[in-house]
Amino acid sequence: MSEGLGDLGLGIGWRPELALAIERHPGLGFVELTAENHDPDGPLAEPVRQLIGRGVKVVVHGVSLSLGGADPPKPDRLAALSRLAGQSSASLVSEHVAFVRAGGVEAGHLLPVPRTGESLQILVENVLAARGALPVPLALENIAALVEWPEGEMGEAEFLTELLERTDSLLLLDVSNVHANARNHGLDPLEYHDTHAHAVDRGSLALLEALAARVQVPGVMLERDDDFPPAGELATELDAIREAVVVGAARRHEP
Amino acid sequence: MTEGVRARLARRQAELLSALLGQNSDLPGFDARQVRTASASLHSKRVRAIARAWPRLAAALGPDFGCEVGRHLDEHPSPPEGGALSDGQAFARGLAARACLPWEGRLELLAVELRWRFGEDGRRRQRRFGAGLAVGRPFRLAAAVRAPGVGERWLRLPP
Repeated sequence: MSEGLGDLGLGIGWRPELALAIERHPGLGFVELTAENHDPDGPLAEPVRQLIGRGVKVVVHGVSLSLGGADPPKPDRLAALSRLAGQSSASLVSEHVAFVRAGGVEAGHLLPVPRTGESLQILVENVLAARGALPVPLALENIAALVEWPEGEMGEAEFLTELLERTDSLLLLDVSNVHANARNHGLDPLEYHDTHAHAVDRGSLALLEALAARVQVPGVMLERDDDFPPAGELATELDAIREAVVVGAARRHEP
Repeated sequence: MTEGVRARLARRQAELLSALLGQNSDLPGFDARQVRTASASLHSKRVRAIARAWPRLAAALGPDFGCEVGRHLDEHPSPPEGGALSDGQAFARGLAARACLPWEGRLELLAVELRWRFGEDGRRRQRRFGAGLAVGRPFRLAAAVRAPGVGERWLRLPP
C-alpha cells in the first residue's frame, strides 16, 4: 500500500452497479459490503467472492441496526451482520450513530439522535450489546444530520468521543458528512447538501488531507450511493482520495 | 438504565419521525422550517429511489408517475425496510389492484418477483426457482421461469 494509507489501504463501497469498475481497479485494498444489500440466507455475490480471492479485504457495513434507537439492537439483525462478516472474513463491522425506526415505523433514512446524556447512555448500552454479539470489532460512523434536536447538550465531537471511549469502539469518520454538517449548519435549509450522490468535493478532500496530516488513518474509502459514475471517473476520484491522504501524511512527517 | 429513559427517548424519536413522514406538524422545540425541509427531502429521496429501482415502470407511467407514486406514499407514509425495490413492488401491486399498472410495469413486476422473494420481515431474498405469468388486454401474455443451471426463460405472446 502507498505511504500513509494504513493497513486497509484504499477502499470503496461495493455496489452491484460498480462491480465491474471495482473488479478492474488494481489498487484496492478493501471493499465495504452493505449487509442490507446482500441476501441474508444466500451465498456471497460472485464478484465479491472473486475480490476476496484476490486478497481484497472486506468491511461489513450495516444501515438498519438503529443503534441510536430506544430499543436494543435485534438479535436477528446482529446475526445477519455476523453471518456476512463470517462469509467474507471481514475485519470489522461498521454501523451509524443514528436511529432509523421508532414506534415500529421505518424512516428509510439515517436520523440523528439527541446529544443528551440520556441518549448517550442508551447508545452506549446498544453499542455494547451489538459488540457482544459480533465476531469482529465494531466501528461507528457519523451521519449528516437532516435536523437539529433542540435538546442538544453536547457538540457532535464531544458526543462521539464520549461514545467511542465508553464503548471502546472504532471510528469510521465520514469526512463528507462532517463537511456537510458544517456547511448545512446556519445556512439556508433549502440548500441542503445531499452527500454521496456525486463526486467528492474539494472541501471534503481538503478535510481528508488535514485529517491525514494529524493522524495515521487506518484506511480510506470512497462511498457512492447514487448516480454511479463510469469506471474512469471512479478511478479519478479514488486517485484524488489517495493523493489527499498521501499529501496529508507527508505533512505529518515533516519536522 | 431505567425503562423510563428509553420510553422517553422512544416517544421523542417517534414524534420526530412522524413529523418527518408528514403526519404531525406540531413538534415542540424543533425548527419548524428545518423539519419541513427535511420532510420534503425524505419524500423526494424516496420517490427518486423508486424511479431508479423501477425504471420500466417509471417510464411506462411517464408524466403520471409523480402523481401515482405520490398517492402510494400517502397511503404508505413509512417506507418498507427492504428499500426501493420493495417499495416499488408494493407500489406496482397497488397499481395492479386498481387495474392501473401499465403493461411494461407488469413485465417489470414479473421480472422482479421472478428473482426476489419479499419476506414478512421486510427483507428480500434471492429465489433459486421462480415462475410467473402476466396476461394483459388486448390479449398479450408473458410467462417466465427461473431455475439454477437454466437461468431465466421468457415466452411472450404476441412475440
